[in-house]
Amino acid sequence: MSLGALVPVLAVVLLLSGCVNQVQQPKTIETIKIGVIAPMSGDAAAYGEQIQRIVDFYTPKVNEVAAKSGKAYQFVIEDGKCAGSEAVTAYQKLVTIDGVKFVIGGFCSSETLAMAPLTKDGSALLTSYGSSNPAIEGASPYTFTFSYSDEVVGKTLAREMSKYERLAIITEQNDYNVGIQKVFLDELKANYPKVTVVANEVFPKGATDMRSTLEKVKKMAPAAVLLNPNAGTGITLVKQMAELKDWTAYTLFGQYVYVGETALAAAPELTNGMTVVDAPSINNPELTAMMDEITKTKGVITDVGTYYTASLMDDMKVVTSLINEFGNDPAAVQKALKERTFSGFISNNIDFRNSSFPGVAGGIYKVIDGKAVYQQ
Amino acid sequence: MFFLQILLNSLVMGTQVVLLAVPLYLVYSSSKIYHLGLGATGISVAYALWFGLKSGWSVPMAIIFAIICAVILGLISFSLLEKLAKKKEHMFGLLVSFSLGLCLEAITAIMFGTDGKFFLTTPLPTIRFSELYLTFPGAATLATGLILSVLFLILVAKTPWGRKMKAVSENSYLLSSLSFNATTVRLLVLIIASILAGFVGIMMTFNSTLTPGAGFNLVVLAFIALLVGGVNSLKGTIIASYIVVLIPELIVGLSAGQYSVSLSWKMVIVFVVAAIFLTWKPNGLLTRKERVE
Repeated sequence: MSLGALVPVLAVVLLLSGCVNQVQQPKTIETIKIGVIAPMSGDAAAYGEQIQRIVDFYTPKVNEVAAKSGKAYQFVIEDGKCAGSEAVTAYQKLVTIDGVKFVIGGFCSSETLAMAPLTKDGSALLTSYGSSNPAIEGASPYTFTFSYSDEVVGKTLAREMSKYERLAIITEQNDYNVGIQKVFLDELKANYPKVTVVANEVFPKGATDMRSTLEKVKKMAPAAVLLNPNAGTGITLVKQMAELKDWTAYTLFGQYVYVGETALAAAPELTNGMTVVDAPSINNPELTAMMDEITKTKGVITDVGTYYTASLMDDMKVVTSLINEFGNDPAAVQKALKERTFSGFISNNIDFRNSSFPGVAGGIYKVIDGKAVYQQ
Repeated sequence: MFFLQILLNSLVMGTQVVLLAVPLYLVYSSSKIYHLGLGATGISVAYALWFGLKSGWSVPMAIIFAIICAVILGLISFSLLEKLAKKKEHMFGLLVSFSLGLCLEAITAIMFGTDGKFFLTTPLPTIRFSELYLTFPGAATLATGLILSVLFLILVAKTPWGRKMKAVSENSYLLSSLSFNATTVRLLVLIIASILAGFVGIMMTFNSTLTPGAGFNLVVLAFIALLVGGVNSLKGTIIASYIVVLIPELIVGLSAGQYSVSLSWKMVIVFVVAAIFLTWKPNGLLTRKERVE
């Protein structure tokens, strides 16, 4: 080949190498803000602090994946105070001031239920990682939750307690507990007509003295009692129940509050043998390793527990993976959420196709020696 | 037995209200100001005791620390309310004391968190009378409530100190001309009121749970009792304290079964009872009609 013929070939090679170099140059990274709403203060503040630890830990992992799509995520945490009005304020701040189009939260059902109507116009997509009130179902086409539904918990409790004829339920007055109470009572009425609810007591949110309520329940001599308080009052309730020493002829049932060891330790003699219905147990070595690492590097996350740690991580992962694919567009991400199934820590088949819930079943635990042991 | 047990539980709660209504009455008698910050003051003192005990201090040491905190809170109340009392700005006094209560609640929440704290993490020890039972803090509340009520009734009605305290609010200038120091009287009253509020704060939270907002409902009940009983009558305030607690507690407690009224209705019933009594006796249960000149 003559030198004259080589010149255009070299020119083409140089040009191509220039193109290749251009392709290899680092892309500009698009930073996308995502809002997170958690109870950073108020009755459930202990959860908020731990939720922040999980978000801080998991953000680099999410960004590692997102970098391949030229994206990076910044999670902006706002305080929902486990209250509807506060959550709405936090949501509006995130959407209007921070300009987020995706909000992960709330944790409490009160937060999510209050925010859901604001998402109806599709301006933002709300994905809760902890709200379980059945009223979330269909509250807005742009609201989903990675939690199991209280409907599952309420129905499972009704089924388990239907072995007894005289039942009592003691409920704290807030969205989460009233949600469970409603499902429980409706289920008993619909499917277990032989069962009688002899006491259906409700006490105000954050009450500190439930002795009169307990006396009333005791008087009705139920064969089984369902304790349905929130985290803050769960300990007070079992402590005051244990003070009524002559009352032992009943079987005790509870919900998520009594999976934690602190509440069980407050009255060990009373809570031993208690049946607790909560989220299913998750035995995933990768999740366990990450939870250990969070505990080591950031602090404890025992109150949030295994399920909600998993649901928060799944929430962050699913939402960001869809944004990586479809861009910062709530409508496109919502459409994908409704059309696909996802694999995560909470389930290998997270399915929002026909529901605002992921289709996770409840788990049954038995309290043995101060610990809630998973049964099925 | 069921009725007696409900009555016993209600008496403990009524006594808690009495123990806060008495200092509320004392402050009003000496300054004509409704000190609504007393509920939060009491809870702050309870937190001081809890902090001392959790820090591993001995019980007497923790109690001394709690008393010191109560005295400091009394001095803070005095510094905030004294000028308003002198200027007879009673409505501002109410607002300032309410704001003080909110500040104390927020500070305790920031310092100790909003989750419930317990002096005893296990079920409380109880005293048994046949089938009835009473927790130790409940029994202590009943006993001290009875003793302090009688003591203050005598102190206010039968001693020169009580007369001086009332005179301060009526005409402090006249009292000053008789070489009595009205400021000292009000200072003493606010310190005593803070210590009493601290005592009831400790007793109440010992019997249940310590949370920053625990004093709010109690001070509302004590305030209602003061109005229902008559702001110038300690005897009326004490009786009204039991009325505004016992009637709702008995309605809630005794309505078991199909016609059960839940605890959630308690405050509604309290306000209805208060409204009925205030409509019937607007000047208070035991207030006599005074001749208008």
